Amino acid sequence: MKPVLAQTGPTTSPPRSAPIGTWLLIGAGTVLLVAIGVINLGRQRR
Amino acid sequence: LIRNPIAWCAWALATLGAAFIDRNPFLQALLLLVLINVWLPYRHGRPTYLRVSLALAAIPVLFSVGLSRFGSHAIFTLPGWPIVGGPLTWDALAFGANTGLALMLTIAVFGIVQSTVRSADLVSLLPRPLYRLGTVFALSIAFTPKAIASFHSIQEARALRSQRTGWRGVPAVVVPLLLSTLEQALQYGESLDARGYGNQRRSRYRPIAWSVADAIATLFAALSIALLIAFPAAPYDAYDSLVPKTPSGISAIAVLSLAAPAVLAALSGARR
Repeated sequence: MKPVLAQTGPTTSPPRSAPIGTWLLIGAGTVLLVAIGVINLGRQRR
Repeated sequence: LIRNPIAWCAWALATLGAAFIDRNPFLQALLLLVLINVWLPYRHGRPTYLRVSLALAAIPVLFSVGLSRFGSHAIFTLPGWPIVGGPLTWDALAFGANTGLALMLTIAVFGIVQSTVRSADLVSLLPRPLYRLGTVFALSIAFTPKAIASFHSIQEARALRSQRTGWRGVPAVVVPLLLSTLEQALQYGESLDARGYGNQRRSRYRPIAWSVADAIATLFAALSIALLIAFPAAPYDAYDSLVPKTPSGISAIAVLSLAAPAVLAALSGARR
């Protein structure tokens, strides 16, 4: 009979970290959109 | 600025696809920001459609919260009243808000296209067999705001004569409204006849031209559609998991590509 530790299956991989790249992309896009919005709004007010 | 109706149609198609397919709340918020940015440089007139879209967005929220009893995150529980009794859940609220936001985005897209593209240009894009049908359809749509304006002017005239103007006075408004609409229809018919409608080949007063900005906006719209189809975003179901998953970077790029008209407007102004 195998020891208990040997009966356990393959070790599970740790949970993947949050995709920082995606959040950076969304954040950069949001900042860019706000900047463009401010530019276009300012131009119309003039 | 983008003037070509084909470029606007491509943009609208891509944006509608994103609004229908991307139900992730983060992407929806990003798309809302994109639409506000595109609306800002191209807006003119009163944005009535914004009010309509806000009202329509509230309906799914009310229905979902009021009638759905699914979900495990309760806000509070109503006593056992028929139909509405039971727990009101955050899951139902999130589901309704998700659906309402998709509706709002869809109406906003149509509103932006309506304020940027003339109906005559859209009709001129139709193939020859559909041209007459398209003209009749565009004219019938154009009748709605005319009929509303006639209704308001009749109501004002009645108010000046100290007659009823509320809902009780509506039956008395129907006949003059019908007569004024018929008169407008006859005027439309005469003007179409005077312009030789249906008698000769179509001619264009202003031929539709392509600029660099139109081509760039169309390319970005095509890129967005291609990314949406090739890499569909993970679906969001509030009842399954209340907290939405992080969207993929490709989906974010597909949504950000739709901001091309706003970016081009900002750049064209900077060059002036």
